[in-house]
Amino acid sequence: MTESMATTAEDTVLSPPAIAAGTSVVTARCSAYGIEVAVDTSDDLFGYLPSPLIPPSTMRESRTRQRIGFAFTQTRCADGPPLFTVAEEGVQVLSSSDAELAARVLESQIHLKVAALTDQAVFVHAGVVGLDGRALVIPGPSRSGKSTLVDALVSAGATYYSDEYAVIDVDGRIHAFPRELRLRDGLARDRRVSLGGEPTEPLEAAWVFNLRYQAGAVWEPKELTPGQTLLTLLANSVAVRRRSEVTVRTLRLATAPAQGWYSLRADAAETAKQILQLINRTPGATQARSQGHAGEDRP
Amino acid sequence: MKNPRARRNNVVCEDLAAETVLYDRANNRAHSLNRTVGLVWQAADGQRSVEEIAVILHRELGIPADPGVVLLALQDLEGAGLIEEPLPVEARPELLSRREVARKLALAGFSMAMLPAVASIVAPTPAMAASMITAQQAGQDLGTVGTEAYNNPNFLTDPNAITGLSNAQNAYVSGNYNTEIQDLDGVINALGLPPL
Repeated sequence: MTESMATTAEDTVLSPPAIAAGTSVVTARCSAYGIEVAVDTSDDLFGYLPSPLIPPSTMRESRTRQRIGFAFTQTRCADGPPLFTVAEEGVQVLSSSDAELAARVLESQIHLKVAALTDQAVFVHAGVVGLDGRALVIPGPSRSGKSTLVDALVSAGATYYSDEYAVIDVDGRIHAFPRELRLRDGLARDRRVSLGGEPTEPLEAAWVFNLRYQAGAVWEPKELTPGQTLLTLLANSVAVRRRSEVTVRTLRLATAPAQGWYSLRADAAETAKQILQLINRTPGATQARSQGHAGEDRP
Repeated sequence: MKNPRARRNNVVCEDLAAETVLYDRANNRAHSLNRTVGLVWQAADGQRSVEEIAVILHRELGIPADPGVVLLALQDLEGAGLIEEPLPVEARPELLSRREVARKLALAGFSMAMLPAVASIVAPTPAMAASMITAQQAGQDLGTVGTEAYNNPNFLTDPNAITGLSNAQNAYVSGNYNTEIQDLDGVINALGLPPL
């Protein structure tokens, strides 16, 4: 770990401050999806680390194929506030005077790295909830309102799976990525809701909702074709460029039983109701599709 | 006119029931071809003429054996970078507008679902797909634009479609952006700090 943190002449400017002499180094480790993550930090920063570093997985753990090293350090200046620095493999990612925010960036970087490097699953940026034993997937980038919508669906009775990634196995089943749900209170802060925890069973996807937030938008869902539904997930998959063939095949399996929808949306609570009404109105279509992709002829 | 040849090299193909999804590794774009364009992509092997491909469409879909439909599908494939050579100039006068082809299909009693249509997206890099990264938003917008291409089949042939994208999206399309700067901007944005 120490060796991997060594800096080179090229990245001197970006290199993070070393953990101060005399401060004991604590290393947190976590392994999942074939990736081992280690975070070097100090005693007084240890409490800021996400616990666990990677949310628990229902996927069978295989041998570790890759290791990534992070550092979360603090620099004390004589005449200024302390700076909290996140580094990945010796290269500074962020420096902030806010330890909690720096820790949040660290967590996101760890999750992104696992999503990008694993060969065990396809990671798609999406919120996921379980409904009647099937998965509802809401792909979309950060700040598209996934977490708020997931929270509203959970409040309406759905089971929490993820507000960050849909983890899809080789059979196309959706696994939970149960980090604590994040709800943004204003621009600067996240509010954590303890909906994470023990993983639930993987589910078959039944619905994919490609939604775009627009204040005052009218809910007008249009059904997507299977190809459009697949592209919707592909546009949010993390490692598609590195694993294009596996990703496309996995997403085909995942979307085969699913019904895709597109709409603008406004308020999350109202959208959750509209989603549930739509699902209740069209259960037959999903049942029929779950018989398989081949032979289906949807204009 | 030289027989059309679709690009298959470096292209991952997944056949759905009524669509074909292609991932082009050469430029990291993904396309969903509707049944008509998918059949033309499969049949355009450099051996068959446009007329012969039209007969295949007639046999498989029941639509009139009209070269205009094939040429429109070839134009869509060309726009998606899935043709080995550009359509020859001499084919252009035969090329009917999408509206004309739609009218002919409608008059013959066929669904608009038979009208050639391609939806395309640019596949994100991990950095683009990351939380809190500005370019990822651009990717999503492109994804949505691609999805909307089915509702607006002129999207890929509309020269304003790409040039009308935001700077971030254009950077995304061209791959001409600095990941570190995008990361930093995204983080600054996520932290609610004023831009540098």
